[in-house]
Amino acid sequence: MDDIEAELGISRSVGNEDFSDSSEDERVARKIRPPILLHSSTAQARAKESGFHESSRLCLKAIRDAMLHHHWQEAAQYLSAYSQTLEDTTVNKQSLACEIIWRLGTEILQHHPNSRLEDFNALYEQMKNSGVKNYAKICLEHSFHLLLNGHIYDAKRQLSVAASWRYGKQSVPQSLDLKLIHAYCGFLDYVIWHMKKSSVSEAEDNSSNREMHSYFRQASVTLQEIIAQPGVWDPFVLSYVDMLEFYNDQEEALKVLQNYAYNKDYPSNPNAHVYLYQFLKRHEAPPAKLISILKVLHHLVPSHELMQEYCYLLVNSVVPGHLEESLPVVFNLLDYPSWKNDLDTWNCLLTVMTVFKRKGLQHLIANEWKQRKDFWLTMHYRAYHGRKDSELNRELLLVKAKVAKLLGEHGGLSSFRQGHEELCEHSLHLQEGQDPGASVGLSGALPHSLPSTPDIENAEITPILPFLFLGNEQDAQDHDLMQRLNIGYILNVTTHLPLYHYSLGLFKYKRLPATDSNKQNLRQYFEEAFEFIGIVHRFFLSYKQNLWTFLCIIISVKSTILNNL
Amino acid sequence: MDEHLTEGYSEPCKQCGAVSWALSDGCQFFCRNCHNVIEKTQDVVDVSSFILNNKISSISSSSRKKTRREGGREWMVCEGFQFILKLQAEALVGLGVCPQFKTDVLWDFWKRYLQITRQAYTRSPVNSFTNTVYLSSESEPESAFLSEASDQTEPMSASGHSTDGRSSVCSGSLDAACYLSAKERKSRQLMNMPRTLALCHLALLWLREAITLADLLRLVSRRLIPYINVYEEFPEEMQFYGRDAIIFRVETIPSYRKVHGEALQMAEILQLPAFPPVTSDCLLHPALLSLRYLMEVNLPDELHSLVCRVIEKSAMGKESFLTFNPSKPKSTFLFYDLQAAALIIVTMKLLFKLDDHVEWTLSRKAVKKDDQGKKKTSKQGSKMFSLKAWYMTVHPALERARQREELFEARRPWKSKKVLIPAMKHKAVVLKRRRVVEQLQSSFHTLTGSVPEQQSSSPSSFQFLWGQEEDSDGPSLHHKRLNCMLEKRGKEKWLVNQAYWHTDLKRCHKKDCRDHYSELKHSLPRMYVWLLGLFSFLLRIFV
Repeated sequence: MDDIEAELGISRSVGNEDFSDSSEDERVARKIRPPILLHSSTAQARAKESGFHESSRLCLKAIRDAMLHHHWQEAAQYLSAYSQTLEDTTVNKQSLACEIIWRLGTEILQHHPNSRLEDFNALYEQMKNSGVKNYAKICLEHSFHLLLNGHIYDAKRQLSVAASWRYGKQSVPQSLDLKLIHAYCGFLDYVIWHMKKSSVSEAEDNSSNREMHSYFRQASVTLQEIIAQPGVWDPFVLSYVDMLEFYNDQEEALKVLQNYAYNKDYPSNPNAHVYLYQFLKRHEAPPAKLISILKVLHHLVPSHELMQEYCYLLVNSVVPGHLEESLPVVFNLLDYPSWKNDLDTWNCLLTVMTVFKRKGLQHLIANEWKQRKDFWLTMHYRAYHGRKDSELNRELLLVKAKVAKLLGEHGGLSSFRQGHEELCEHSLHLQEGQDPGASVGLSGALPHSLPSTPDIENAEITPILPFLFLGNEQDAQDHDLMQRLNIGYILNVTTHLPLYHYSLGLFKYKRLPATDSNKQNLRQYFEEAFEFIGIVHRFFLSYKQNLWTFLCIIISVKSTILNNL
Repeated sequence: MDEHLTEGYSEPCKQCGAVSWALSDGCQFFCRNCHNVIEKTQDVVDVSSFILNNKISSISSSSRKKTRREGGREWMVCEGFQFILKLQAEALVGLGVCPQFKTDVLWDFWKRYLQITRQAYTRSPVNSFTNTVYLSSESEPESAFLSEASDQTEPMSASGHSTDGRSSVCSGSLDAACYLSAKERKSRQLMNMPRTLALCHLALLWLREAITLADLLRLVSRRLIPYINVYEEFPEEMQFYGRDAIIFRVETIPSYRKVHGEALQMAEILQLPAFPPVTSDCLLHPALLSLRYLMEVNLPDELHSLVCRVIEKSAMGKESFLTFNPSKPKSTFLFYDLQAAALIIVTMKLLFKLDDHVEWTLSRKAVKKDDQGKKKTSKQGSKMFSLKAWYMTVHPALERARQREELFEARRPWKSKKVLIPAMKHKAVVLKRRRVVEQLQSSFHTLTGSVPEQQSSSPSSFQFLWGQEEDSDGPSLHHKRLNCMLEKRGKEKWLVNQAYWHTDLKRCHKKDCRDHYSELKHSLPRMYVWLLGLFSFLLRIFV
């Protein structure tokens, strides 16, 4: 599992299900630095602070509490008291207060039932002018807020005012903000141009046409300037290209997009390639060109949705060698859980595999399969998936079964065959029977025909000891069930199942990474398991009055492991 | 020189007994011998009619210039403090302190202070910008300030202070500059804001009023005594800006320790004689003060007799112990309220041991005995005092009060509506900021909806209310009995609990002896810490 993760380039912190508790905690501790809490301070600092500062600290705490409890009126009340910190005589506290009032104030207004747009405008105007440092940022936020409320012209006006603002020396972050303001100025020009365009097309009017062109000129000048600087400018590039296309300047548009995608100074940006691809596709570029773009994209994002298109392009390409490339692309795609249940992807895989089989390239399939058969079996081909697919998406089940059949020829995995032959056979059988008219009759029969091995996945959660439950993956996902049973501790004896509700912090988790095979030596985990259960048991004993404080151990093992136990 | 004017008045001076009167330029009589200014003026003979001047007194009329700024006039920092003291005195009198407080005691202390620090009432006044300061009053008959300056120095001052005084420091008052240097502040024992409270405290103590220092500070915190932003009240013609802000601005309510220390210092500066004795009928006496605190924390009245026993045994009820005498070299300046609270805590420790064990055993016993008693009489509810029941009543009330206090503190306005302008060049910025704050406050205020008004702070000296009333903090336990805690052995009654504990006594030097509580806190019994917390909340002493 680890190897494949590394191969897939998933960062380890994302795939957190593979780590035992202790290392998890360590990593979290390393990664998260304690935040600076403005509303609390050390006892030492507290002894020295003045009554005024104490009041502001307490007030901030009260605001925070009120906001966390969604008491917006109360929060507004405390914020009104807090505003006196603006008059703090120490400069840094004062500018901090400015930012706090701005951020908290907008947040409160956002949620307050009685807030009006005028309140927002007033707050933004006041904060803009009292905290010079945040002027640009507040202006941007203000215009975004206006945009959200559909006041495009007001937003534009705000930005133009902000763009012409100068106050002393520009600091580095300020100049960045001003750059953004400039960019959005251009973008809003484009938006207005776009609005005019749609209205003009209906009524041919010279003056409004001229107005539209003036917006185009403004927008294009600004956007060109902005795009020329390295950075991620997705919406700006798109709007610029849109305008260029409207005025039939394809060459310039292509130049812009190519520069955006291939210029080394720009940060690596998959979207840039997507835009280029879409542009070329719109203008019917030759497939070879498209393939070359998608190749880069595949390198950057193997799970991108365009990879299917890439795959078909490769399969249909006449250039030798392209066909062979298509197989890893589609296999890669299905390595990602996001495509796990996507019918089109599976269809794509099936198509590619049939083509390969027809052309006698089975060894390539076998090669790809060998790399990932272990985890594909658990990821795609477990009885649970079969059952779920049969409920949700029958078609998918069929395609998966067909793929499995093709794969089975190469795998030589006895367990896989044992487990799934029936399924495959059945699915093929099903497909034959699935004439337009017959599908209705079959729908009821299907679930029964699924593998009926004594599978723990079908079992109910079972109390073993008063404080010990045995459950499966489904149970582990069922947050309500576990809460109902007062489960507090969960022992996960798998390598692949995630610690489902770890992030909630409600349950204590322990993972014993034992695999689901008869070669697994389980003895090494006994000690650890007993220790964990022991801790919980003691905990249980010490709270005898409260018999409902229990734990559960969820073991998702198959009968093989149970036999070994 | 003034003989012809003063000869009609031949009363001996109250302070020194001499009959040697002279007339100040405010037409007020003063004693040439001891510089005591009496209330008699040239034309008003009625001595008793004296009250503290309603108008602020200021620099001698001859040197006063009204032309500095329009509508303004020159004033000195000590006049500002005098005005504040006057407001505070009026507030205290309004709260029920005897009127003498304002007219005699505080006023005398203040005169004495000015005289001793040679700011006024002296032949050789000290001043940073001119050799002479003339103090007098605008309102002639009720003059508050008088200078003893004789006429020969009069002409000098007119030109003296206006130039160098104002050019160096930007301030509304004339002598703000010298208040800003720490050295001068110390050497000349100049006033500061906590010292106004210290003076009030000394004066209250002199009168043996029931307001203790903790009460005084609570009244200040509740704004019943002007202290925060008191400069708002200054009359129009006292222009207030620049450095004055640093002297009069208050951003914290001084701690108990600070005011106590300042009061001790002031007593030394003023060279006060022995204070009137604290007798057993006086409210500062630990017996009465502890009764008040027993009621406050809902402890049974029976406990009071035990507290009195402790007072008696420790000889803390003696006048000689309780009376403050700054003139004696080793006289201690007692913390009357703290001492009373400490007596209660010690009594509780004697009675219940408070080691997280004995007190609960005893309270279980009390409940058991109560049950037995009930079977016999079955008339009333529980009669016995159970510490557990007490804790369960007081603890939630305390937590609520703490929460209330914290939210009150969070909402406390510190900034004045009257803008302080630290310097002319910042004027626009400061005014703009004030405007922004006001706009913010009004705009967010409209969003608060109908929030229940903050409870009007009543000047009650009690913070908890125990009894059957609707808004009480819990049932009253004042009439519970302590029988369970005493047992008869022979003829005398003994405490059931016979052990008493104390933390380790350690030798430490007076100089670097600091807060030991924070070190010990974690090793002390929880119940004891809780009790200390209760009293420190009541007395507003935060550790």
